[in-house]
Amino acid sequence: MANNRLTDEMLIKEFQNGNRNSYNQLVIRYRDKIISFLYRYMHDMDSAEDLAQDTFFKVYLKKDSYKETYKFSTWLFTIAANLAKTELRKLKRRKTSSISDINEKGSSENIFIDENNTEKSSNNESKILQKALSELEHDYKIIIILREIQELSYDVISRILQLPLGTVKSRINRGKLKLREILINYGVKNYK
Amino acid sequence: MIDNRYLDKITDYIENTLSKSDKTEFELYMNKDSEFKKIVNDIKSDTLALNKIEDIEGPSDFLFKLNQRIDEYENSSIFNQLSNTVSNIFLKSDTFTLLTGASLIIILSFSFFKFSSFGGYNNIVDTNDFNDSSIAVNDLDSLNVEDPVLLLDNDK
Repeated sequence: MANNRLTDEMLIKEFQNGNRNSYNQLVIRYRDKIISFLYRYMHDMDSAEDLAQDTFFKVYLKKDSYKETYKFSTWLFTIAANLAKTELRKLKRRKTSSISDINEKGSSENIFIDENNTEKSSNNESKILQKALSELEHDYKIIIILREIQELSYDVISRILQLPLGTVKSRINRGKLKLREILINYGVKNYK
Repeated sequence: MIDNRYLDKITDYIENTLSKSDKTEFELYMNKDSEFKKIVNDIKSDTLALNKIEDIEGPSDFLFKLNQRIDEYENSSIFNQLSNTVSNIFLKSDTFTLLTGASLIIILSFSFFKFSSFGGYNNIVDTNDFNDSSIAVNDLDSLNVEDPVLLLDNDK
């Protein structure tokens, strides 16, 4: 059977039995998803790529700790989320740069909101949304990214973040209300 | 002032997961309060816009770099195991065994240098034949084939 027809769980099983090709296949499947998730969370491409490398390297090292009681993607996102949270804690401890500093230094997508042009293209809308997302508190941001951009179920998010389902649901709701407030502060036309 | 009970149910309403009675109650409240209705509509449009954000394409050498890191790790762990074994032998052996071992190594090294020939020509790498296939094999994105994984057999 060709590897691209195998499920993630079959591939990780094969990798646990020593097949490195199966590991490579999993990396190819999830590379973009993990980099995207980490970029939305860190708002810095270099950090996102480094953390994605660390995530897949950890999968390689800890392959035997994966148990089939939950999906491979849940395990993978849990590793990525934990690494990202640790990295953010380190950044905070260093106190040399806050996430908003990273936005200014690291992102090439500085958004200058022109009230007349905010609705012109969906691309612009997406940039404004991402900028607003980057300003959300981390507890809300991570849930919104996992739910609305990565399109994971509440159950999976609750496993990844090790939070009760009710907490996940209330945080996503509060997060969206806060996101709306940020967009209002940007002066986005829709919200006036 | 908007009732918090309804604010907490906005996402459930948008995702259509409220029970029939809760949905009716929510809609009744929403239709009475235009400010609340505006909030619900804003969040609905934000959610749609968030859903449209696409994945970022990772760098093409991502897998190659990762495999390089893994190979380096594997090689260093083999080296570490070897050096641990050697140091264990030295730690656990007595003086007599160590001296005998050292003498044997000296004799063997002497014999090797005395009787082996050093043909320089054989050690020269013909750069024209140099073909670092590992780079092409690991860099899957540079390959445009149906099932690139099949080409990775030499990584086993």
